[in-house]
Amino acid sequence: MTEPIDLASYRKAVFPHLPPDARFSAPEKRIHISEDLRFFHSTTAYARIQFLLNYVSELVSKVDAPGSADGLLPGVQSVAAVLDRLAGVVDEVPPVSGPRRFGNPAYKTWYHRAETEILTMVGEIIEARSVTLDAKDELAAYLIAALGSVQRLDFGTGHELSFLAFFGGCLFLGLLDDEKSGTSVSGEDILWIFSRYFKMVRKVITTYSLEPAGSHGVWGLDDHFHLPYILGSAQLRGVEEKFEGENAAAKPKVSSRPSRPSKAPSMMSVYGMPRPSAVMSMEIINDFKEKNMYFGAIAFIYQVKKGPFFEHSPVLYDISGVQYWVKVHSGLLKMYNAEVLGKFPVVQHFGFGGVLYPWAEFAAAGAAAAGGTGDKSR
Amino acid sequence: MSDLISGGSIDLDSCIERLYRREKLAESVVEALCTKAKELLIKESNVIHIKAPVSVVGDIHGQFFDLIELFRVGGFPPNTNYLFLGDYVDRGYFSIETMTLLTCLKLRYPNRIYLVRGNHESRGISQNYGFYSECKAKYGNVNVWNCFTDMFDYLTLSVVIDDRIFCIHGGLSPNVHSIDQIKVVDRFKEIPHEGPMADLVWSDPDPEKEDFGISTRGAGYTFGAEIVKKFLHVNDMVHILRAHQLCEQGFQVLFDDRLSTVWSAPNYCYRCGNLASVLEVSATGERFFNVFDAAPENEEYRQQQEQHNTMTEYFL
Repeated sequence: MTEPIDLASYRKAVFPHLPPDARFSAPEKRIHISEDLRFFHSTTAYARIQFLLNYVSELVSKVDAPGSADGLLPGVQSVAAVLDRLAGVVDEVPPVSGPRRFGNPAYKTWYHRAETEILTMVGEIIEARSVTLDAKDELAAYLIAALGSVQRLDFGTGHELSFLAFFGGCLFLGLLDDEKSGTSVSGEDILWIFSRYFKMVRKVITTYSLEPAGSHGVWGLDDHFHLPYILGSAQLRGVEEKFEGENAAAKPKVSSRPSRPSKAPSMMSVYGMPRPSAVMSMEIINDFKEKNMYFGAIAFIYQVKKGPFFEHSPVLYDISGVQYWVKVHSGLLKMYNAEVLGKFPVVQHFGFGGVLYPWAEFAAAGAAAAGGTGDKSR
Repeated sequence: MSDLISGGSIDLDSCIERLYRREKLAESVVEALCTKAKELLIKESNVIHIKAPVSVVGDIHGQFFDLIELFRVGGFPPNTNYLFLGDYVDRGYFSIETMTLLTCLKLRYPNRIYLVRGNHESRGISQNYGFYSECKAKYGNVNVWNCFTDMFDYLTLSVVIDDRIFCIHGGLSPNVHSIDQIKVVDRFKEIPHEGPMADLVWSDPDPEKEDFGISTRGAGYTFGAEIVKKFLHVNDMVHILRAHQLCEQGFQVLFDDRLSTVWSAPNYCYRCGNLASVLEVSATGERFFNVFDAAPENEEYRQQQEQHNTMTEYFL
């Protein structure tokens, strides 16, 4: 993972160009039985998801999430505006009182309004970019699928995966890059879009009490999310390692837990960056939650979970004993491939359409080799 | 061999005493317990008829301290009869302790404790949602997981209380009109992907529908008011009692008091802030939800260094 990746040619390899006769179609479920997983891992859709994970990780490396949209690409601002609008609709649809099992039924009202907003706004973005309007339904479906389940009133990593797919769809269709000036998406752009999404989803989860979808409880990373940890560790990886790598002959040990999680100084590197152990410090979490996705996700956990951190979030606690962010990041990618993309209950809901994520074998020669970690299911 | 086994018999009272203290039993003891339990469970019908009074328990999901809290609230066995509706394992920290204790209680008081199978009592699910990882973490291997999941194949599918209340983990099946159809299911196997056995452990009621519908869980069905009415009428019963779904208040009653969901894992996953309940069915057939909150030990509990999450393999 340390060799530089030629992102432009990698991107071309997985999504060469949009053919003029591209036949868009609304995504359909194709993973019906667990045996379908194997084919899934050979599809173009899967290769593109792998590309996206590597692409966002590369671009956000050593970058802070921006505090505002100033200076970001217009296409990025348009997509972020959709996400902010969805968050705004939450204010217009307050939770209702009355008997219920768990999730608040007002979520369904919000969901249907969000669906309408998405179709309108994504349509406008596509039109403004003179991409064929046929793309609208296929692209919008991924953002709609990223809102959670309207039947089950829950949210999990499958929905989050759909957002990655939506982001990728915008990227592949050229809705984000500025073609006139030849400027392509930067790390700030990516962090802005994803942070607007997570902000919106967290608001939805807490406002309407969405259930964790298929949580692994204390045996999983997080009840709802995985991507902010990948993005956040990617943001932080690379700096310490460069300077300290030669000196640190001893291998980083997973089990070397911080004995007393209180001393803030050792949680920060001399370069002013938090170490993985800093998840035990509220002070550092608060300092970094806006600019770093990992700490943003940790802050949310502290907000919604009761009890000691190591008890309710033991996987994250164990990760806090890993010495370097580069290890954290590569571990999280492996875990994502196995626990999200490798798990039938999660990906059975993923949709495959005509152009963006086709259910067809990926043929481009040599491209898979650039795919980084690949699948490591246990 | 352990001091808990002598001459082929297991000292169940000592096992139970240790388990109440949350002590881990030796692998050989767990293995012997599972073997004994299989011998007992194989004799049980797919539909067990029992008499009230009985207290009915929903999902526990390894929340051991909360199970003990439930006993404090509802009475310790054998002073209270218990019917457990499945989902003993996964997600929480203490699936092993929970499952070992329930197995011992079943062996010690076979006619006062009944264990129904939930959708998590299967290899496919418990391999992915925590129980497997926990066995690896606490025993260093998966023998215990193999023993327990083999035993799961013997758990019954349903219980009928006083010929009036039909109890299952999940819900109804379009393939089951009469409970006699459950009796002929070959249940001694891994839970299949479809068919009556899958539906009984996977289905959910849908208060907005009348008929059966497709479940977004990927297994089982949703079933509505008309299905419930018809099932109760055909089988001459008055109520369906099930678990399987998180309830903010610890329970939910639907379809004009024809169906109850009981949920027994308070503050689920440390985040949901929900209450839990145990449903007490009295000798005269009244139903009372005894509601309780998370056990105080959860706050006091401090994780020991011995436990390692297998997910950390990714970071080596």
